[in-house]
Amino acid sequence: MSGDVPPDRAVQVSHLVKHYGASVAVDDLSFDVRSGEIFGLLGPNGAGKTSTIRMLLGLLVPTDGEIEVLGARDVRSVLPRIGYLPEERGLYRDVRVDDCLVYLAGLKGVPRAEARRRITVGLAALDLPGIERRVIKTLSRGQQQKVQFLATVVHRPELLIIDEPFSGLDPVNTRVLRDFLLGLRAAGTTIVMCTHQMNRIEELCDRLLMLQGGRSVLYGGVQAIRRAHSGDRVRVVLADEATASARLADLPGVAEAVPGADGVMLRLAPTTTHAALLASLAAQPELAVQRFEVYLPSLEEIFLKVAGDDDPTADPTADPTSDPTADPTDDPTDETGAAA
Amino acid sequence: MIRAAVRVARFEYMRHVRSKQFLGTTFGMPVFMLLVGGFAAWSGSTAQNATAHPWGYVGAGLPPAAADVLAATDLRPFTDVKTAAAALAAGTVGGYAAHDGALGFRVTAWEPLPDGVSDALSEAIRAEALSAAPPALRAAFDEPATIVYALAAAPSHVRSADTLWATLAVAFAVPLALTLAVLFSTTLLVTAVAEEKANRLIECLATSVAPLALVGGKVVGLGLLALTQLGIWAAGAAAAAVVGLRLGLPGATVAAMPWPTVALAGIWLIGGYLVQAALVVGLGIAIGEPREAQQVAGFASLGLVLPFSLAGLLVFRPASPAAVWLSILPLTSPVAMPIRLLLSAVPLQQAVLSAALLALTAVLALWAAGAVFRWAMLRPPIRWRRRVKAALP
Repeated sequence: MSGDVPPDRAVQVSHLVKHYGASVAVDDLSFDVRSGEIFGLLGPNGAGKTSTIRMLLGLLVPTDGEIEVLGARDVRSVLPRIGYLPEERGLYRDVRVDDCLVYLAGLKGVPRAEARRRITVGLAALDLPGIERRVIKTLSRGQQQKVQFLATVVHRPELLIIDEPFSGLDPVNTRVLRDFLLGLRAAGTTIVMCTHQMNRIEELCDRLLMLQGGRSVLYGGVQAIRRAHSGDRVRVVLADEATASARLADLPGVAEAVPGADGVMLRLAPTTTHAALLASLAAQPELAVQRFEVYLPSLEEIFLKVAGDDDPTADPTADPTSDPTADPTDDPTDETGAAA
Repeated sequence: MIRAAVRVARFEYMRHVRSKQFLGTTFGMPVFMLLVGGFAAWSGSTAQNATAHPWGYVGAGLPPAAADVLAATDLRPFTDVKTAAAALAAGTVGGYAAHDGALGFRVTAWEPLPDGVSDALSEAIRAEALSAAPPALRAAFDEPATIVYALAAAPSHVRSADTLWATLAVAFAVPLALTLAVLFSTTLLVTAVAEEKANRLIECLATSVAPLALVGGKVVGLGLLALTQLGIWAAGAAAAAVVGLRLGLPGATVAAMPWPTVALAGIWLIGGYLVQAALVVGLGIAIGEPREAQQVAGFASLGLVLPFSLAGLLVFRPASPAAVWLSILPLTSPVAMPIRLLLSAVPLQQAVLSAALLALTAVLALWAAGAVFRWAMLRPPIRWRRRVKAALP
């Protein structure tokens, strides 16, 4: 155990660097994950997320920097306390669900009888009761995905690292999995979640780290980040919706007024502040302001702004590479590493 | 780590021993072999019956002793050569034998000698020689010298033509069974490894088990599968031998088989399996796509197949340099050395060198497989077919 890391930190990363030959996958990255929180890790394809996760799991050796996971610098010593669900995933197709889960739990040190008990409970919690004896290939894709998720948590990890846990799930199963994750957090499990689904980050995560080009470009609490990126936009609702846009556009300090279904979005001139605009509105009671709110951008907007609107890789469904011989499921970071 | 490796081994064994592939191969292969062998025997016998014509001999000029022998056979007697030649020209006989001076026959025919004719003529010559021999030599005709075949592992008192053929059969059946079991298990192994990499299950496993334990567990588990398969085949062969003994198979022939050498071949089986397993683990993890990995693993197994294609060399020239090198080089020795051991007297130093080289290669190959496994585990699959196609004009 290290004395440097506060006890409420499940993960502490300092000045982490990973090179693949001449290519830099992770560049001087520092962050921490607090115990019991859901921490979002996001970024466009090739940003260094997978390399970071693999270093957290001890699968890759950092070029430089320090990692401490669950109080240990030797990550492999705490692997039995970690659960990991990679993005591209599968199971033994010709094996029964219970045999597969008992095996994977056993590798994490769970005795067979206890594993069987947990599997029965876990399958019921994931809305898959009674499928223990079914062969995995006979399950639907969503069912297989939930079974793999159960394999990740059946040993009751203290730290759970999950990569795109909701991809391919229908809304019903998404809800089941989301509730399961919230239950784990309530039970004290620390969760690091990689996803491109910004609404899931907003919905579930306490804090997040966004990577681009191997470096941190956003880091902190989700709401704090949204507030920090609120910038120059304000949403105003007037009693007279028909003339609201024109009247608001004439206000001093308003650079642009765009009507929308939910009021008028004002973009302020660089010399104006939110308070100054509010004062202007208050000075004109005939405008009959019904609502005034500093607009908090969604994480998706922040992501696109930070990652670049024209970055095709920001779309998780986009082909990450134009190389026809490359596997579209490959992380370009790995491709770089392999080429090196 | 050992406990994790045991868990992996048990899972891999149990997962595959109940599979349709294993059951189909283990029980289907002997049935297939029996069917093929039975068909070959039946078709040979049918062809013999369909094509063989009666044969004849010319009685004129035959010594009485030889004439008595031939009169007791199914051969058709002709009074003279002219009559026999006419019958041959008319197609009523396939050929005829005429006495050609002392202790000799001249055969005129338009088809190969059918079974029995050669023996009958030899017996006639022996009778002729016996009648003409001085009394002091006649005892030698009653107890002729036994031809002793150089079966290295067979007890000298049972070395004979019968045991030679039985040993030949064993000398090919045993390496063939070992090779089939090794190839089957290593095919499952390469598929399992490539499959885990393709669906990234390998990453989950690597967060639970050290790569060496994972590789070791898989190799041991599927090695036990190969032994199970061989055990089932051996039990089947033993049962067939028991039935054969009851049906008249000579017990001495069974006893004369070089069973200790068969057991000794197990050394080369284990070594050969470990080398092949290490090769396919490396290929499977590097390629990472089950079907493509199987194809490349097929090339890697050519070393085991090569000695079968050079079987004539191993049987008839077992001490030739080529045969010796085949039985010493680690990729071919798992098949070539057991064949040589079963059929000839192999110098001790060659056997020791072969076993030592194989053991050393197995250790190095497993170590290299572990290194490749760690290196390739997280790398993208090598789509070799796509790359080859892209490279072609």
